[in-house]
Amino acid sequence: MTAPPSTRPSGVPLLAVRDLHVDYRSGDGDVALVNGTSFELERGEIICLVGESGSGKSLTASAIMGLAQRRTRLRVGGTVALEGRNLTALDQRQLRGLRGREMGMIFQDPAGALDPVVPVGKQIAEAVARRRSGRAEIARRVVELVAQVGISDPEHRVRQFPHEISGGMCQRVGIAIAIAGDPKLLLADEPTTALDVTIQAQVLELLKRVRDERGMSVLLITHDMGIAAQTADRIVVMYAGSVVEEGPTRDLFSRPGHPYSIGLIRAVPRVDSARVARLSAIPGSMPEARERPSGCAFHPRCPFAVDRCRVEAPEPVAIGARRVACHRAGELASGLLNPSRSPSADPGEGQP
Amino acid sequence: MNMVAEVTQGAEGGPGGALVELRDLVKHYRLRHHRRGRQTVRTIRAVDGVTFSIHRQSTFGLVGESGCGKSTLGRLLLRLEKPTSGQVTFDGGDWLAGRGQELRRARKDVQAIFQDPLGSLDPRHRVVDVVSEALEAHGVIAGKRERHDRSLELLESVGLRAEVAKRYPRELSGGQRQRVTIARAISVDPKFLVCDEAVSSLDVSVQAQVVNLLDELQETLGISYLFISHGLATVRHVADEIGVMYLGRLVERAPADELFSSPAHPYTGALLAAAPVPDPAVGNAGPPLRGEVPSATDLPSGCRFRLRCPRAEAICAEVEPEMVQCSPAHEVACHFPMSSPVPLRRPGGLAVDDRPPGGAPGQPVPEREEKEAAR
Repeated sequence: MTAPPSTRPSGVPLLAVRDLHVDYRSGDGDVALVNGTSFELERGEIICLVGESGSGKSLTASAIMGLAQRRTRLRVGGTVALEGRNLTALDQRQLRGLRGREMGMIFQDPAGALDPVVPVGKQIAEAVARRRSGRAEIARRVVELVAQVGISDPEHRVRQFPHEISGGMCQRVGIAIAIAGDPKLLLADEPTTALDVTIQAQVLELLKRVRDERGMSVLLITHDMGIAAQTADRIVVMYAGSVVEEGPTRDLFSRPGHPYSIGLIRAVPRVDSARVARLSAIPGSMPEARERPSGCAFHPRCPFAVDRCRVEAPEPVAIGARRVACHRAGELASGLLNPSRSPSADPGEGQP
Repeated sequence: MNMVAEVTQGAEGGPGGALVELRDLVKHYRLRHHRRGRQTVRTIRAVDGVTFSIHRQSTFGLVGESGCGKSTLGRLLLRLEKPTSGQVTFDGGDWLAGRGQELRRARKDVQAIFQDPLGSLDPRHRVVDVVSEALEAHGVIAGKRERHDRSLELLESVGLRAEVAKRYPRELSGGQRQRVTIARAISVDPKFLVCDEAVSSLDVSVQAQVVNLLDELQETLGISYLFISHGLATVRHVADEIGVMYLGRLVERAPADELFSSPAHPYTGALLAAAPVPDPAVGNAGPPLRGEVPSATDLPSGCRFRLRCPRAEAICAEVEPEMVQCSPAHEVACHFPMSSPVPLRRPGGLAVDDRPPGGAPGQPVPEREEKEAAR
């Protein structure tokens, strides 16, 4: 379940994100959307960036790809290092050279990410042509990719347009395009959210196979704890623009350290557990970026919050193999606090 | 609370009796294509002969993947669409017969909440006015002042405080907006609520809040729900009974716990296996189902699921399986159901469950069963 550490020269991780900030510059002051995110991704590893809407997970991916920087209202700070090379120092022309070759991206809306007036085979060929030349060579590679992503009836499919094929098939084409340039890093932003559950299982299987066969690293962004549990080697949990917990998948699920992770794991209804009288919910909802509370952003929803949480933002501390950004992480880990006194659902959704 | 008193009265006949009964409900859409001067007509069999009933004060969960007809079925029950054929009985009367004023009055009893709460709220109305409008439209309360007060009361009963009532829909969070649509739906004392993907667009932590709210309202108001969802896990936690749809047909119907503990249709099994469990220790439930849902205009012969089914045999291509009982409250439409508490017998006298479990490769379900048994 962990990445093969053999392919790891000189101890430099494939991707190192350090203190990443994304600010929105508005008329009345800057709003911090991503607030000091740090994590690393090893070669051949699948990391899931988990969080609910407004957690900043997609913006983090967008900043890694250098796409957030193109938006004039956004300011990106901190470093994103791909094999030790700082991407935030590059200009858009240099970044364009990296995208597709070093980093590939898969999007949530598979049909929307494709060109509606170009046959899908040609779109894959365009992606291949960025890296290879010669018609025969490109054609051979397209056939290879199409087979690899499991597109059935390829001769017929490559001539079809995106609107003629299903969402699952579009996502397979999207994956073929993303891996056409043999990137080292694959970013997938909610790649299965628009797909049916049986097709979702096929696409996740495909992502894992691509990782196994090509040793690619995958940064998978999802809101679904189930997908994270079944796909990731490590998990990074984000809340209100910051990483609240990070660790190996098994540890994080068996002993979640942050009150938010605890609440999130409990709130997910499971197909394999009997019906309960009440689902365990986290009271309230994620604050808007403009209205983030002082101190720890989770404190208004947290059952363990104390005075310190209201004034001081917690720094991540090591708990076993995990990093947890919570003032009471130590007490929680040692069992001094009872996590079963968890956020019970109260009807009111507004914060106090 | 007068609300409770009224509804208790409305729930005469007691819990358990059928409130809504569907018999052989069909909705076909005709698609006309003009190509090179020729017209072809294709028929989409969105809902193709569905029969089940929803009991009083209970929740019927309808699950299936996109295009299976679950939302169309909800729209038929709301009378937003006219069925091609079939009958619906509501509270003892013919639900499809009412017209004009009569239908307008009847609509009060059947309300709906949809997936996208922002899309179903007027952006120019304050939240409190959204609810008042429903009270006015259905003539529940005559005075403007009284409507306003009652709206505030209703909003409070779904967990929204008075200061939220003054806001506009876009100023609320997704969960709060869904609470508003729920308040509006219950404002007219309905007997039946169609919830079409009502929590699907909400964040997990908020989803649980709304599910709990719906549960509480059912207890206090005695409403029945049709809970339509693609998410099996959510349905498991709200529904008393569950129907699984595939390409316009109901393929399995069972009490919720029984459906999950002993699914009979291979499609139900595949859906269960494909649902990612938020626990890495449980592991993936075998290889995913192959292929995709075929087009609803060009259905396979015999069983509609056979092209993706790991158990399909020759008979599945020839004969479309009928719904048969496999335990007192459990029905399945399959020639080779997976496991049934009472072994089914085919006309030849052979027990269907004699098939070796996990015999063919690519059977996702038996693997999961073993895993669960081992835990």
